[in-house]
Amino acid sequence: MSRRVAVAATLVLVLSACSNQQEPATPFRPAIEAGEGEGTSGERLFQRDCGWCHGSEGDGTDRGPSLLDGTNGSALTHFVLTTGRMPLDFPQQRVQRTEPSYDDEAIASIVEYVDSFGQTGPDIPDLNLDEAELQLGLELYQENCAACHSTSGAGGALATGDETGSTATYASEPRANIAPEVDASSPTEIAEAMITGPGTMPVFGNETFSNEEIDSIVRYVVYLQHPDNRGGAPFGGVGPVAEGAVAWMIGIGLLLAIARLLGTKSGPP
Amino acid sequence: MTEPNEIDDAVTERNQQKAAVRWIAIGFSVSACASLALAVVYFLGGQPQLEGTLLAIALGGIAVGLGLWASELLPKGPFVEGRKSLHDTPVDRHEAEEAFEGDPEPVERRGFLLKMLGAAVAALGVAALFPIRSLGVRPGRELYKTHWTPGARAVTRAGTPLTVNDLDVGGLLTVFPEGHVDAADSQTIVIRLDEGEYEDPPGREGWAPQGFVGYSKICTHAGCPVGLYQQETRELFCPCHQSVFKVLEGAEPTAGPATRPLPQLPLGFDDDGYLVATGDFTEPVGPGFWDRDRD
Amino acid sequence: MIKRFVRGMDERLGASSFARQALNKVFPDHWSFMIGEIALYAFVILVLTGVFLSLFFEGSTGEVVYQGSYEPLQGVEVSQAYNSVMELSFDVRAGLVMRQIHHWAALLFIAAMVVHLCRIFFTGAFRKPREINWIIGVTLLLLGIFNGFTGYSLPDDLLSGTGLRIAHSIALSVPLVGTWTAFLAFGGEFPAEDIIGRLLVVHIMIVPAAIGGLIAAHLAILWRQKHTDFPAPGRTETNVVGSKLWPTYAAKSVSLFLAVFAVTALLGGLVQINPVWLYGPFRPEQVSSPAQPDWYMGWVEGALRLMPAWELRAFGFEIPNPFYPAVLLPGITFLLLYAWPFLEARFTKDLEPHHLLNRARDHPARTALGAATLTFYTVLFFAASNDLIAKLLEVRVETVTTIYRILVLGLPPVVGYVVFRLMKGLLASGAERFTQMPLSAVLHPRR
Repeated sequence: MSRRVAVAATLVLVLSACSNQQEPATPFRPAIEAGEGEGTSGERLFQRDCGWCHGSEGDGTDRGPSLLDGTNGSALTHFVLTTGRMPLDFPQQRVQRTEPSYDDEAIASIVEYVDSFGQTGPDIPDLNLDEAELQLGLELYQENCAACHSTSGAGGALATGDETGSTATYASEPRANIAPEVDASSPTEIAEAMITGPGTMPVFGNETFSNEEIDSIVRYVVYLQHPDNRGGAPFGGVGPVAEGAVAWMIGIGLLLAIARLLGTKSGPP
Repeated sequence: MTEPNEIDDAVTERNQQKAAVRWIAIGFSVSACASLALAVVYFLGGQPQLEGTLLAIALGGIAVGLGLWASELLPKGPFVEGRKSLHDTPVDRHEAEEAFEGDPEPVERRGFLLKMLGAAVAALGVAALFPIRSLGVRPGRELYKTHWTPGARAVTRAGTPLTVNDLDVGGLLTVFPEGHVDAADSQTIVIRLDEGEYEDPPGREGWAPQGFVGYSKICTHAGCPVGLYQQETRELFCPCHQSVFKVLEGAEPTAGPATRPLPQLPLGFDDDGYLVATGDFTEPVGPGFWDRDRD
Repeated sequence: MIKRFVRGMDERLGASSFARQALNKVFPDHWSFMIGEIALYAFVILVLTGVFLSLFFEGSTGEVVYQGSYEPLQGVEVSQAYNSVMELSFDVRAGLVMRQIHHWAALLFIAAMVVHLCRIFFTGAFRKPREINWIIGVTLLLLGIFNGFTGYSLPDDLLSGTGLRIAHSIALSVPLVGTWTAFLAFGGEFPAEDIIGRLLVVHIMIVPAAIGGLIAAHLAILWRQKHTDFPAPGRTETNVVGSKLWPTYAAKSVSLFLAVFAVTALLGGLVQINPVWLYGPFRPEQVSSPAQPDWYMGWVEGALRLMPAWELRAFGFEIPNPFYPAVLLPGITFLLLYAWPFLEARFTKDLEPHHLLNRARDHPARTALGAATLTFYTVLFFAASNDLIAKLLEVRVETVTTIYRILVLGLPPVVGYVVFRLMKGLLASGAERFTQMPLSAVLHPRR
């Protein structure tokens, strides 16, 4: 048993050393310093925190992509800001959910400002969850979302992400990709992610799905945040791996202890 | 000198036994209470966590009681028993051999008859295997074709056909031939790429109209649906054993145990603007099998 | 009352002398001899809960509209099998806890058999005259694994359906007869309609009957040959030392049975297992990630993930990639398991019967080989969760896979060597425990 622990511990150490969080060699300087007492304004915040990667007019640099093409629009800007994915501290930093850097008012003003560059992507969606059909949501989620985000909403690992097709130097090294858990997302964020396909997520927008279908998927995802776990402790909802761990560590562990209590211990252990 | 020690030992033992009796009785009573509570829970409608815990206590109480009873109150031994040799005597063995032999003076042609019996039983044994054939259909051409035919409209599971405006750029959908939504072998992933992004490989000109490219969803490794699409890198990823297929390179596998690319479905748009297949896959879909390359 | 019972039995069955012999029979009661009993009692629990489940389960893939009380599925078309399991879980009192106890008992049944097999192996209890029981035991393990797989595939949910798809593909990969094997076993191309019904017959009738018969044989042989025991003062090859069957050993045994039942009941109530309503009904074009089988198939799954993209192709024929990790590897595994007592006897030239057990140190080579083999299968087992590890540690899944590939080939010989030296060190130093053994005995073994 202790051998297994040692192997596992070594594995963890080796793997976390390979993890790709890196510290930048030199800190980046903002394009414009925010003035004291001038309040939060979309332009000021954008130019201070975003422009040095995305360009002062949002058309991209070699450190960050353009904000004017693809699904870039109010929905995507709002999504990356409310989930704290943006702004990054340095270009190679992993894009993932963190605490948002701004309050709602500031986010709204940044969204408006960026949109003024001439974005063509979808706007922040209006949701109508009261009329949304849970069963339709289940069918569509299972068909389109479960493969990456898991039927339980626990998320999962993706392939490496081979950047050889990409021209931007900011994405120059292979990244560990995951499809995240759905439990921290607000309904708006879920819908925004669907219609803009952020990062490596595909686009499930208004051409693919009707508003009712989007609403129903959002409603089902919200359900998955507090699913029916009447069977007991769900252990992360990852299925047989967790169940096997419990069977061995708790089940067999308890039973061997009980056998030791009942039987004799004379002779070799 | 020995007497006081013996009395001490006897007293300690009696106290230990009394303690054991007390704990055993407690165990049995706890168990009975749990069984009663279980009945109440059940009649009130049941609840899994309570049912399991109370059942565990009900069983465990008796287990603890019986275990203590066995360890503390019953004769501990150790007792000794002899192991007789597992051999019987050579005489017994000889008699057993003779019993097997049966007839001490077998008829001359016994060997021949035994061989004939063996042949007859063997033939009957083979015949007894025939019902196994009834278990299924012969593989035949099943694995070499799907339900896609030229002109068959691509529909979602709900039965909805697709026009060019029914899939976002950078999105994907799972489609089936119209009328065959239950045909597992025909499941196809349609991905909408940026127009011009996809270069038709030689021999597949026009298979991906307006950026709509279609691949069999059945992984060529062990058959799982290749449901994960990574838009940024245009890669399909199978969750079962982590094979990776490059969409822009004819779904060629670049990682994982898959050895063959996903077969591509030739697509087109019919006169009404609906996405259709212009033919079946040109090779068997799904995992490999012995004579897969012989068509 | 006992007088009346004994007289009644004796007048009808002539059972008095048998009763006297049987009730007085001595069983060595070292705690590690109870592991096999844990497996036995887990099987009893499986049968008891299984009978209950079989009264509710409908083994058919025919479509029906779900009308039960789980809201997200209401109005959704599902198979009768899935519908019956949903009904049992949500609308039958105690249904869910019975299902969960059954599934936990299955996981523990096979785990206990594996631990028991290890105990038998490392103590040399498989040696003459117990080779037959070893063969029976390995067969029980195989049947247990098989029944576990068929069992959790019955609800026709998305996760187990994916497993069936892989099973069909593995059958397809067998050279020459693969397509016929898959088509006959399943009833056609995947997903064949008949499969759930067939799995049901296998799962509740054929395999349990086989397991029951083999357990009976296993116990009868054990009874006849008497149990082995560890060497100690007062214990020889010609005696058995321990407690009598009645009342002590019987009481302990019943206590153990109730304890096993209690543990499965506790797990069955407190820890969710196989929540098929979250997995959703099986649809052949859907899949979930992560996707793993139950733990006892983990070594095969890990082998499938670690196997590089190789396959044999020649003259228009092919032996596809899944064949090697999923047919060849398990085949060799069980072949070696079956053959082991005879292989070891041939190698050690030891044809004597043994009733006294070995300590692990008494056979350093066997112990080292066993440890190395266990390491190999354990690494494969952990490799089956490579995508979960990748997500947890935020590492590329390809990196995790590569590391496991290195470990599966590199770790077993290292472990084997280290264990060998440790065993030799224990022997040479004469120490009772590792902690009492001086390091010099391992590092500088005397010849």
